[in-house]
Amino acid sequence: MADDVREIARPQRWGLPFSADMTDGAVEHLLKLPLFARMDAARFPKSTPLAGIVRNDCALRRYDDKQLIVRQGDYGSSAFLIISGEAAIYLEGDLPEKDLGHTVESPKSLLRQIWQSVVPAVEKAPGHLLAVTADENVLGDGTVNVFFQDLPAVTKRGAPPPVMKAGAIFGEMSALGRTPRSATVIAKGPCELLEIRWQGLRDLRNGDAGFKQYIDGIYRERNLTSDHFATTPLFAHLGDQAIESLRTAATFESHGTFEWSGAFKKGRQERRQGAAAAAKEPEICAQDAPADSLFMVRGGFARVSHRVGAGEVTTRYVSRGEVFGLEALQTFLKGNPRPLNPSSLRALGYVDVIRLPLAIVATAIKGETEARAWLEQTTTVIAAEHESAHRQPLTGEMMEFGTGSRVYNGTSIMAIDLERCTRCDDCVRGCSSAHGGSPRFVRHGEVSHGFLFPNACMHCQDPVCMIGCPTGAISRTKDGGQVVVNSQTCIGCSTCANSCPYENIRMVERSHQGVPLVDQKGNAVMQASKCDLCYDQVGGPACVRSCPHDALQRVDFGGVLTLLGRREKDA
Amino acid sequence: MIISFWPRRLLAATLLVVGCGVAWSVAAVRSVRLEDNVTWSGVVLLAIFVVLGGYNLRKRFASLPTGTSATWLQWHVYLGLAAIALIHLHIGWHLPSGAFSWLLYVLFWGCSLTGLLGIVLTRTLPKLLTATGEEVIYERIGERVLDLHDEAAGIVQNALDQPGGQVLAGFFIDRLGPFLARPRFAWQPDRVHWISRQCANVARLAGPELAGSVADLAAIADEKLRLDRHYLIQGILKGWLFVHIPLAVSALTAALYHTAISLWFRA
Repeated sequence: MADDVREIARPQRWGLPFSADMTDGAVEHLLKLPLFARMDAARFPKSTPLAGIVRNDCALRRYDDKQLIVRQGDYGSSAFLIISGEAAIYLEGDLPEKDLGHTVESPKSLLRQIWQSVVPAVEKAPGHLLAVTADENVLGDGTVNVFFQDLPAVTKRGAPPPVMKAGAIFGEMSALGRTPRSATVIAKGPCELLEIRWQGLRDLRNGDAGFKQYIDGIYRERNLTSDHFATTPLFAHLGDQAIESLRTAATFESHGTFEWSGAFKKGRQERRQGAAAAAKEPEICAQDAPADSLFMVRGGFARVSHRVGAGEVTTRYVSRGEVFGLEALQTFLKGNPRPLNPSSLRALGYVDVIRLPLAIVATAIKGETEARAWLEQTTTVIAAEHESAHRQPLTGEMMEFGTGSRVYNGTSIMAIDLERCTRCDDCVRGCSSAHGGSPRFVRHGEVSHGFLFPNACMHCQDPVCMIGCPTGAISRTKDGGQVVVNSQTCIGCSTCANSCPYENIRMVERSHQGVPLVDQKGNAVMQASKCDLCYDQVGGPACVRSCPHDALQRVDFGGVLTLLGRREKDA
Repeated sequence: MIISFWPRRLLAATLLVVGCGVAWSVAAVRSVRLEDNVTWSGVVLLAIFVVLGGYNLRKRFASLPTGTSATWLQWHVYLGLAAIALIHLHIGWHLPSGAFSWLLYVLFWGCSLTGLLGIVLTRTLPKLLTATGEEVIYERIGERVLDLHDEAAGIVQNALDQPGGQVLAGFFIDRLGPFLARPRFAWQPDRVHWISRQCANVARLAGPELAGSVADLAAIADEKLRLDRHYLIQGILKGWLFVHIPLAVSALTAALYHTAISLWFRA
């Protein structure tokens, strides 16, 4: 082997298990648990056997009384099975935010930043392959050492919280939906839990039909019973009885495909042709059809469009927390018992919705002046958006571009105003400077209405890149929700790069202290490289800070529309 | 945060006018009292020069949280404008007298004028680039042009065995090939007409069988024109800094020398 490269074993899935403590005895013991004992091990593929999943994708966690297990709002990518003991559930507002002890995933350090701007940081190598002990690696969600010694005193909850007992599973909503945790769970007495990272959860679902049915069932059930009715402005002021009537009448639906990115990439060109794209998306409700329901979006995105000639004009899109059908509700409340849908609603990729019968909603909010005022105000805004999409061609076209290319998915889209950008590449140099000499994006990508959307990670609301990662190396940070790659656990399988519908993840050759790493066959060892939004840097994204002309911004899609409006105003 | 530019410009312009007004008032009061205006204005000027030069340092250490580059540029522009007023206050609203003072004065104006030119260029040229409908990274233009050359050569080669193929070959060897050989740093608005005229002529001679090939060649030539426009405009956008920065470094060096000499003789 030449001296200019270093040979290492090619990283593999399960090369670094989720927990180093999973012994043969522990695996054997776990397989006897009712959850696993019910499964037919023979039905699992040879590449991902049941015992292998338990050994490598699960971790035994022990919690003491009043210890925090998961915290509402954190991005988690694992589910928990209670093996023994009990855990209490606290919803939003039950516990004071300051007492939740928010951890900083990677503390920002100005001194480190100054040092690294002079001496570039040594590129992180796959630590476990270079004989760094596993203890030095922080894997998965880990445990959070926060205790609530005087829980009854700090809780704002009047009644005792619901309690989960041995055999219960929780955390699956966050693990499957790539969404923040919907509740805080605290150990009630000493308890033992099995943490299953989502890769394992996915393989267990795929391998066992019964488990899939069970998990999907509780996923749906919890989506209906969780407390998000109260967080929707329309229902925020309703009493318990009215909320209960809504819950009873609500049904949970999923439309589209959860793993939509592959089909999207294949049909990218076709989908950009507006009308054809909308026609192929699963329709949740049709324009001019009788409107009998209100739809609350729980996850994913849906396109609201309006027929014009032979095509469709996208007037807006709705995402998690938003409601569709308010115009029909308003019409219903004004005395028309059979309103029609003024627009169609179609799933973009996949969308989870809660369907509420219009009549039940109308009864619940009939005497509620605050809800009625909010409804009046919101329907006015929707009408204005609708008008704007039709009357202002630029906004409408940008909306079409956003939905066609699914840029709306991004929470931090890199948008460069080409009428201000001097193509100086200071943004790339800034990125390079912040990442040890290797820029994390290319100033190249799709152009729409004088805005360049470079191939830089958008930190999607629905990060499909996380779907296939076999080791959990790609995850969200707990604090800001940025999607980042842990170079210590990335095995360079390219799954995330292939899954990313926007081609915003690149595979780069690994090196250690400047020496390229190769496997035993002499092939370069790769790792995924993507924008991390400078989450560990003081001052925010270096690309934004480096742009001399304020041409580059990191915004969500609403921000892109604002930028477009600002340009028109400033012109 | 999305900012609106006009309020920011208005604020900066107001600060500039107020700053210049204060400096002028101080100078006027001191003049009445028969006090020296050279020292304080020189110190302020030198401080401004250092801040102006600091922008280049900020760019070199881009990852440091030292404020956004856009804020720095804004200060750079307005402090540069303030310096133009202040240097004349410093020299008593007369022309310099000695040779070194003249050198410093010329360097300062060279730096200021190229800076002002830079503002105009960076505010106007990006729109022209965007209007091409093409987006290309400057360093990749040469490679793209070569690809176009090879693509055109392929089209001509495929047409050789058809009647009229020789016409296409002749057109490629004499006109199109040299045009596609390299990117051109030249403003060539008449080229659009040249291409359409040439292609119309070739289409007539090559015959209807090769009409598609001629159209493809015309499209390639059209793209080359857009790439040339990028090459020119991006080249200008990068190139003016190669004049501005050496002048700025020279002016700063001369200003430091001027300060040292002044302090030496003052002592």
